[in-house]
Amino acid sequence: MSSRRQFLQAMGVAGSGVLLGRWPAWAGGPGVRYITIMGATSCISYVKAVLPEWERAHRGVKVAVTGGGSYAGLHALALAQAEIAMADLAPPTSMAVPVRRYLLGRLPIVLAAWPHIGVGRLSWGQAGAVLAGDIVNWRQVGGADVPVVTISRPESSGAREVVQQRILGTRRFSPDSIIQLSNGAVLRTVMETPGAVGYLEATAPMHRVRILGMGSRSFSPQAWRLWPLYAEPSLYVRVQAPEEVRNLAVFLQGRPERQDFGIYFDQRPGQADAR
Amino acid sequence: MRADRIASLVMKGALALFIAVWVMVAVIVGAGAWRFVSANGLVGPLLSSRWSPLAAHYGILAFVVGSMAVTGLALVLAAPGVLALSVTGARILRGAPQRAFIQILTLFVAVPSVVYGWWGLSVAVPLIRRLTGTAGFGPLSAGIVLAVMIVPTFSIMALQTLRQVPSSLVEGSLGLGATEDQTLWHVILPASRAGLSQGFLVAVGRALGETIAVQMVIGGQSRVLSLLKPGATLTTQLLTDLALMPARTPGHDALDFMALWLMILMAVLVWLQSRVKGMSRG
Repeated sequence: MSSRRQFLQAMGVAGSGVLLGRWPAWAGGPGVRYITIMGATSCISYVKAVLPEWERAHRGVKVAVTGGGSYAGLHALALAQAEIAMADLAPPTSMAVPVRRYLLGRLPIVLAAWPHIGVGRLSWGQAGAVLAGDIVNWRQVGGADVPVVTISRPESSGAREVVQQRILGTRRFSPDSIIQLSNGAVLRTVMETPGAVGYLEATAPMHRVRILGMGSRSFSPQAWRLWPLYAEPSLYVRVQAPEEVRNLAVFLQGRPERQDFGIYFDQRPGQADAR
Repeated sequence: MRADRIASLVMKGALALFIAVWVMVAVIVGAGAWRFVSANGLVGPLLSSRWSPLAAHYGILAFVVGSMAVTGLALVLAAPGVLALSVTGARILRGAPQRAFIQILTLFVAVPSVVYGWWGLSVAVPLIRRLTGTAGFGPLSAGIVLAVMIVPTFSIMALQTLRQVPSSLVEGSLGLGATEDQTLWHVILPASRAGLSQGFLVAVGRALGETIAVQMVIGGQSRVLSLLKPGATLTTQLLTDLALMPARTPGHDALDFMALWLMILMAVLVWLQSRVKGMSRG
């Protein structure tokens, strides 16, 4: 009988712990405050690189950075599961929470192809037809006789959204596209698959793939302002966020190191926009 | 005495925590699945393969078929290897080589699944690409990767079962003039049926639940069945769309519905395992 009572008591304690859902604030020690940054994977490397400096200046604040994609970050912000969202996308109109945007800069998105397709440039129309699966062989656009293999990202990807809006418009991605979860996986697949073409955020070295020109433009990091296909990675913070959170967003928006991570910006600091 | 009481409390606490976590998961997934079924019905999503969650199309037929196809393919591809390895380990090798053989198999069981996925990207996908002229990503590559993954697990279980066959049965068969092969097919394997069935079910469970290794090579499209074109399974689609539909967002209930189906499939496997265990005792 006593054994059963003990078990039920333990069960009650364990259940309460699980049902609480979140680890209590005191778990990190007295006075420790937490800030969660969540969202676009394209921003993670930059944020992680500069964060220690801010943390050193703000003892007692711990910042957790996690990916999940732009959608996940914005949803988490709306649900108060994160204090800062990193997103390549504008918040959906259904998002009821008023937020402030801190633009980080411009993140070029390029079409990368297997090096031996025999094509160095596509018109916007051709690019759309290739990604939609209407052009099935590179020969159709003056290249080698190699079947086209399109590589794409999941619907949660901000880069995918940019490509959908700017290149495809109302058309859909080819149903034969190979879906890869990260920029790196797209790069590797393009590199290794004959005839492959995909879109990449130009944050990483892009060796062993051919970066396709778009219309009359060619991508060059030095001439990033002229490249027409890009996302605008931003940090989103609730208008009512504590001062500390806003301070962190301003810090992240102002660091010049982001250019080393493929996020280009004009040298004057941007202003936050409320929406 | 006091130490005993503490140990007992710790054990009971651990068990209680385990049960509480399990109940919590079941309640969360069940509640989400219930909301999904209330809004979309039970049969419609199961018979549709149109998956476009942002447009509120939640057909999961392609993923259910994908899971079953990839698992079935993996079992078919793994079976010869499992038979060869388990018979070699149980009936041919003896002493130190046998122990080393078992240790190597155990080592392969412990390899993380992402490593098998990496192998799939480096070997299976290029191989399929060369043989078929396709991009190489699809259920066939996923089946090959899963087959390689389940061979060690299934082989160890089969090997242990084969070792437990009473030597009197084997000697009796050989004594009556049966060859080694005849003894294997007509005495050893039938006598090990229950244990082999259990190993089979564990392998099915591992294949059905595997996510990351499959995700790396399957291609990620909602397509009912083409072995050579990109496809998806329940687990890979859950992984892909968790970022799109995190908890408490519209559409997340669809993921709960998929998770519930996975749990149901796993529960059926566990039930079958217990039946098989009963058979072996009976």
